[in-house]
Amino acid sequence: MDAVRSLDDLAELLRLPKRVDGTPRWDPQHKVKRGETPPANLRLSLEAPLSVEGVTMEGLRLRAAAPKFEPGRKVAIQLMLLHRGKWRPFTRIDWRGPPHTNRRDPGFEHYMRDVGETHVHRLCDNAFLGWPGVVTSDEDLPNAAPLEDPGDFAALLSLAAGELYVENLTDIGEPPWEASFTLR
Amino acid sequence: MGGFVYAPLTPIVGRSDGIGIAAAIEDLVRARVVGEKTELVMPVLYPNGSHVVISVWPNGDRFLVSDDGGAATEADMAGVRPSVFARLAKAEAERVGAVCDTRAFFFLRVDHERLAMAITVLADAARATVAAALETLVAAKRDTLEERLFERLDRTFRGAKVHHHAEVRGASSVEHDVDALVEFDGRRVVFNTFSRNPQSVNALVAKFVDLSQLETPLVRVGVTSDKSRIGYRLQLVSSVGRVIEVDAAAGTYERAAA
Repeated sequence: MDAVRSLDDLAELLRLPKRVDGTPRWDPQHKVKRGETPPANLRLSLEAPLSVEGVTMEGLRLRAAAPKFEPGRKVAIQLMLLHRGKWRPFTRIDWRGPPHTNRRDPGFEHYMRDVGETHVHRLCDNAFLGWPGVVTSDEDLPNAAPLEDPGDFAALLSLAAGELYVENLTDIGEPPWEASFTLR
Repeated sequence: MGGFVYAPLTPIVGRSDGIGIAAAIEDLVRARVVGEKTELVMPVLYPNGSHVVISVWPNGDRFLVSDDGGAATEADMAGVRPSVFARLAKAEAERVGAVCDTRAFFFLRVDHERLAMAITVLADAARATVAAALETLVAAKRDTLEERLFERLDRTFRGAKVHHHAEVRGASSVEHDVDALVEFDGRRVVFNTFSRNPQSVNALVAKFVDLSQLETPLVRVGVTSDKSRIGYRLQLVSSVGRVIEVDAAAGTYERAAA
């Protein structure tokens, strides 16, 4: 499809069946030198272009992040749009991350509710920000709806594949987690 | 993936009767023990509504208090560059006497007496840093607002002198940077963009007040993308200058400058 110029365009882009291109990897977000103890809050990040019917889309990507030393926690998976030189999210799933309270839109079904640690920031729920507000505002998708905890990472990917319309999302591997709960 | 059993969050103190204000207070801060650390879900929200989570670790006879990189994560997922976050986080950490290292805030050795306040201060520092970081995304947007303004002015005031990024001296003798100065028929008109952010409005009002007190006052025009999004602060701006939307018709620009 052509460049995104409206919320409708963005919603159409979201709903198009997409595929992750290549074999994306989980990489540490900053380099740890050999022999150095990695920081307890080291994060792993995965980025991938997405294709529609074999064509890699311009200005669209998948981004996921997870803490290296907290297996099965604080995972975020989102779609990002390149808008005026900045990559901004337009749909995000948070699994076992910080609880989220909706405080911005009194018309929203879950207004003034804590939607818990597993939730989805859907484009349709944030459409009140308008275009291009949804990708330019300083509010970062303020409306989120609760999701039932999928239970494990594989189930999370299945859930995310549906929400983000990314067919082969379940093929991305589990982050190379290490359990470590001591102070470093 | 072993080593950690995912348990639900619970109120930090046992609930007394589960009703009324007491129950709400108990729910304000919730906690979970994860290995050696205790995570506290604070009644403090990042700009998108995520709660600030602060971790407390025993550290000898004291405590280490950290956001575990939560603020950096919030900013990162919103699209803020790590270098921008790092700069803001360092400044905020210095301001409150904390440490910012590997993208996390720390108070390294807090005694029992100061623990509650250290947790509170760190939660607010994390929130403030993310708010400032997200504001940089909007500041960048303001550049495009400015570009749109220049384009409109160049088109509307063809016979006039249109200066982009001019300096204008106010009644206080302070030199103000304004987005544009248009000169025609002996008139001088200042155009300056602003957003709905309170700091942006305040900066504009301070500038316009000073320019309004010149012996030969300039015409002052505030330019924004959508007046309806400014809210009640629009009155502040309109008390010291005219206001138009950047995408207004040429006639609107001419009337604002008249």
